[in-house]
Amino acid sequence: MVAKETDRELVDAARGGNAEAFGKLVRRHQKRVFRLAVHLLRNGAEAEDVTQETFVRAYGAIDRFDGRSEPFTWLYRIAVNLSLNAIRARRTARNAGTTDDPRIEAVLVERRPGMADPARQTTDRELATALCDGIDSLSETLRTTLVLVTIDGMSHAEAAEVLGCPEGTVAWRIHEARKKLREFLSSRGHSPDPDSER
Amino acid sequence: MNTPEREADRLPEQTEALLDGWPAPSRSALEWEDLANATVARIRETEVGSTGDDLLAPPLPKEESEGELSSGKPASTPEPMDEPGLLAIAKAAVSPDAGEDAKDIVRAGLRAAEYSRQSHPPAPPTRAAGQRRGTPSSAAGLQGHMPKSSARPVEAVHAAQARSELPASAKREGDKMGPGVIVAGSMLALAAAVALYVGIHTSRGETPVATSHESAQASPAPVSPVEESPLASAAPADKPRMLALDDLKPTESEPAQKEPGKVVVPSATSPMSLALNNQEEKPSATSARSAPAKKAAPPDLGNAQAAPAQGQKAANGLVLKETEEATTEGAAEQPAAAEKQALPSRPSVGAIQGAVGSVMAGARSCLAGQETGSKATVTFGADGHVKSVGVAGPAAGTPAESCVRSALMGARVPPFSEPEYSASFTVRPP
Repeated sequence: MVAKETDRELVDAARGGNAEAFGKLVRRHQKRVFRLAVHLLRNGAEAEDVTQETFVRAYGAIDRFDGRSEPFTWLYRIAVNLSLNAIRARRTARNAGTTDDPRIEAVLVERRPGMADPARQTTDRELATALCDGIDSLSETLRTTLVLVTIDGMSHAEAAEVLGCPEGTVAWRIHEARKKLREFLSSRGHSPDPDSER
Repeated sequence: MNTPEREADRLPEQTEALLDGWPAPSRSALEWEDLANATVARIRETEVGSTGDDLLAPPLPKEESEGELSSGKPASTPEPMDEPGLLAIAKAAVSPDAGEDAKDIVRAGLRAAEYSRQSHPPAPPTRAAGQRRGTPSSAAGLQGHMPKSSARPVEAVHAAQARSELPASAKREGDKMGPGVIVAGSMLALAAAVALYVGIHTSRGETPVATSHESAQASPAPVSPVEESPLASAAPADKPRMLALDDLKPTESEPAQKEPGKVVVPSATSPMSLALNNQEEKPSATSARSAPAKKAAPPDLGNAQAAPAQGQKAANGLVLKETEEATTEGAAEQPAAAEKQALPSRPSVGAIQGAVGSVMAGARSCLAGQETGSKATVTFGADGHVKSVGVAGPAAGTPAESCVRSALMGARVPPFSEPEYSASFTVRPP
């Protein structure tokens, strides 16, 4: 069995002019980058553009990848920067929480097969909508950090690498984001019930 | 540690599950391939070096109030001490509140300090790595051990006063004396002034007990709000004590990663850690935490002042000695019950996420080639180790199941009091 090339090996090969190697990197990471962009931009089409642009810009800067971080955190940093640029370039704010929100659609699409109960679907939609509204009410900084750690599943160290801040700052932001999210959800009638987790 | 607060931050169960396993918007394999092909086609037309630096910079501004609670630099970086601290202390000693004798003595130190600053602007320190920086720390080391009698400090400072003339005579004699001698002389005078100032306060009945905890609170940019640990607060308040480094270290019951509400963890090279770094053997990692340390006998301060080149070492030595005593005694009085009581009932969300996040990459790699993710339920035992891992979804019943299981078995959370705790995660393909 041929061992799969590591991200670093692919970056090194791409730096030597092998665009196909970079294509492998694209195929390996585009889904995660796309999901990150969807959660930051709340728009599927824009997220696709940002995903593509992320890899193009990364290739354009491959000579400056110093190898101290993992290639995917480097890609994520570019994706976050492009997403934030796109958000700031928007003239009008989008109304998150509608059925057009790709985040909510993704939840409903994934759960549809097992969800014959329409009442449950309604509950899911309400919860996802409230959660999206809560996430959208956070500051850019808290929201981005929350998306990276909680939704994308990055470790604090990885998120710190992407955001260029200490791990302690990431932990503090997550703590703050959760606190604000909890308050928001409580105001919407979604009270926490820690005991139900057992 | 603010576990109760973290518990309070817990989101509703369904919300946690949704956050944890939020799926990516659905795309078919063909659509993904098209997107990849389009991207690669654009890459072929892209020149290396065409991307600006702005996209590679850290992306986000600081959150409001983040500056107060969270350091802007990696926590491993030692915080610089405030260099003019000695001058400020000396000025305070010359204030109208201080006695006349004190004023005379301290003025000499102040003159020397000001002269030193005028003629020798602050230069980059030439200390070896790990060496204690700035005299305030060493002064803090001396603070708690000054004899209450003012006779010896006065004598010592008279000697220092004589030395404080060094800068002036050096000025008169031009280049006969090197700048090193001048600096050494002024530093000695400063040390004497500080020692006297501390001595005066001691004789007034104040209890100048220096603890590393106080140093941590005085640190200009703490990582997070400093809270006294439950174990430390259990120590009798009426007895002064010298905290050891372990007071500031995360214990085994705390997650290795930094979390909000944790005390500042000094790096191995920080001033606070020097005392224990000098020890070759540490009697007990946690012994100094809760037991009140016995007050050490006053050291020979006169010697420390008479040997200016060794003054700093002597101060460090005091801390080392004190710490050794504290750790040895504390081992006998370890309040195991209190420690157990301090355990959270269950691991915090952050701890679980941190623990599982650290091994998630390995688990994900087990699902290489799969289209959808699988659900993993991780059950932690009270000691923080993983007791079992259940895998459901496409990976179940395949070789990937055992791969995921063994990867997630490596997760560790801090010990907690309940027998076990389970949490579910979605493991997605890489």
